[in-house]
Order: sequence, then structure tokens, then C-alpha cells
Amino acid sequence: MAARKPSERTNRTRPDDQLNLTPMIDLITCLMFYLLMFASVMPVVIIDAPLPKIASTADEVRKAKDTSNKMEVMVYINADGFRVRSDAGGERSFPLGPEKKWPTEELHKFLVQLKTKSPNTKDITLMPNDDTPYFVMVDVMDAARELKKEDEGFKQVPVDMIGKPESEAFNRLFPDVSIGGI
Amino acid sequence: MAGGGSSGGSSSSKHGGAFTKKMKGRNAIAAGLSLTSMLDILMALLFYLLQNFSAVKSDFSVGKDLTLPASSAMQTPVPALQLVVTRQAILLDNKEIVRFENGDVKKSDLLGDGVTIRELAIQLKKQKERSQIQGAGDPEAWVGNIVMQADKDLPFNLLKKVIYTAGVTDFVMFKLAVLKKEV
Repeated sequence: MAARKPSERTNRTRPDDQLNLTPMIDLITCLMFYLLMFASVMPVVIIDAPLPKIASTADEVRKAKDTSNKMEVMVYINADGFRVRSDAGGERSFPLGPEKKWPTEELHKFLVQLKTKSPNTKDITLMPNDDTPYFVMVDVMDAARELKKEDEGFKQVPVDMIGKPESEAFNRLFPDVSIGGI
Repeated sequence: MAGGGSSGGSSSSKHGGAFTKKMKGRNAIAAGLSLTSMLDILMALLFYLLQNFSAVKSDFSVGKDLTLPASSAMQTPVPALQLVVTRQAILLDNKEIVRFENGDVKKSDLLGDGVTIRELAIQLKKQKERSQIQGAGDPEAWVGNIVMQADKDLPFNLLKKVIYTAGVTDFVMFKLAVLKKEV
């Protein structure tokens, strides 16, 4: 072995002044894999569409007969578009737009008008034709469920409630959907 | 670099060589991999995933051969019997019950009323009995929750048979599974 210069003859080692990041990266990588595995890639939500039930108890019969301050809203869906029939707003049709676009925006605006006439009404009945695609039914349910930002009477949801089920208490239009014609 | 030029010749003296080595040591660049930026990315991803991670445990799985419609609904899925309607078949709890012919239920699979799907009704009744046994025979414990996943392009003509069959077998708390629409 070649002789070293005096300046190189030292056994002192400088302490490593850098933070060892390896365990931290290991931990983060493990956590990430766990989260990626269990995170829902396709966020699925549900829409309640309870089927009509025969009133069996006295209370249920009384509730079913109580139609005060309520109106009946029915949305007929056919190949030409939508037709809305209600006690308060009469009958109105919404034909398909250009390129066969379903007029959900126009339907929504009309339902907002109807809601002002009977604020206690929450029910709406869908009457689809046999050839109505399922996604159109869901679009109509969306149009009928809640007020949008640009609608009159829209109330801002508190920041801590955004995205949570509690936010559903705000800006309701006709959230209780029944599917008719079955 | 000055150091580079002086060390290049073979005629360099002993002093010159030592000086060059010293200079090289001073200008040496650490060869280790810089993990800081990688750690930054990982941390950002981790925070994003933690933010979007749902604490609610859901055993909800979307069936294959199926495109759910998108909706602005917010309600999270609840544990319930899973009824899947694809373009080819009806599945109950991941088991194929009825296979379609020409995009509709075969007439031979329907009961006399032309709407009730025989095999589906049988299986739903079995499920109901099983649930009632698990509920210790308490008829009040029966809720009748059922979640339907259906392809977005299926016609109502087909879906109404499925919905009707669920209704006559007392699965009245009908829920539609949809994809959450980004607002």
C-alpha cells in the first residue's frame, strides 16, 4: 500500500449532516399503495327511488290521503322530449333540442317555477316510455332534485358541509322520485 | 476549468499533481441521488389520496360489462343486495340469473303476467327468507333494500320488468347506483 501524505493521515470521520430520507420514503410508499388500493377509482353514489307501497297502517293511510299544500308533478318522457303535467302549472312540453339533445335545462327551469307555487311538494313521478334509455331517466332525476347556483332561492351550502350528505338539506326541489308506469 | 487544464499534460511536476488533487477534492460534486424532489411529489400525492379517501367502508363493486349513468347525486352507497343489469344478463349478488335474447328477457323466462321475471323472483324470495332468518324472525327488521346497477343505455321496457319483479318480492326500497358526476 502506498504511503499517504500527512494531510491524508487522519482517522477522523465527519458526521453525516444530511437527513436520512430512506425510512420516510419507505413509509410514504407503503401508505400510498394502501390508499391507492382502497381508494375508489369510480366514485359510485346512489339515488333513492322507492317503489310505491300499499298503505297498511292508519298513519300511512292518513299521510297518503293528506294532499293539502301538495301538488302532483308528473314528467312524461318519450322519443320527442319531455311533457310535464301538474296541478298548479297545467301541462307543458319540452321537445328535443338540436342534435337530439334532451332538454333537461329547460325542464329544470320549469320545475323551479313549479316549486315556488307549492314549496311543500317534494314528490315527482317519472313516466318513461318503453324505449326511454336509463340515462335519460337519471338526467331527469338530476334536473328535479335540487336548485342550481343560478336559480332563484339558491342558498350557499356552508363550507364544512360541501360534499357531505348533510348538504342535501339545502336547495331541495323535488327530491322524492317515483318511477311510474310499472 | 483551470484545474482541468493543468492536470492534462504528462509533464506535470510532483507539486503540480498534489495541487490538482486538492483542487479536485474541493470542487467535487456529491454523487448521491437527490431524493428531495421525489419526496415532494410523494407527499403531494399522499395528501391528495388522504383527502379523497373515504372513511366509510363500502363493499360496493361495479359490475363488468356495464356503464353506469352519471349523476349529480351525493348519497353514498349502503350495504344492500346487489342487482346488476348488463346488456346481456341479470346478475344477483354476482351470480347470473337470467340471460337476455335480442336485448330483452325471453318470453319463456317471464310469468303469465308478461312482466315478472320468474327466476329473478325465485332468487329474490330466497334472499328475503334468508334475511328474515338472519333478522331473528322479526318481520319489522325487514327493510327491503336493493341496489340496482344498470347499463346507462338499457331501455325502460327492460328495466321495468326488473323493478316490477323486485317490487312484487317486497324489495321496495329501491336504489339506483350511478357514477358521481364531477361538478
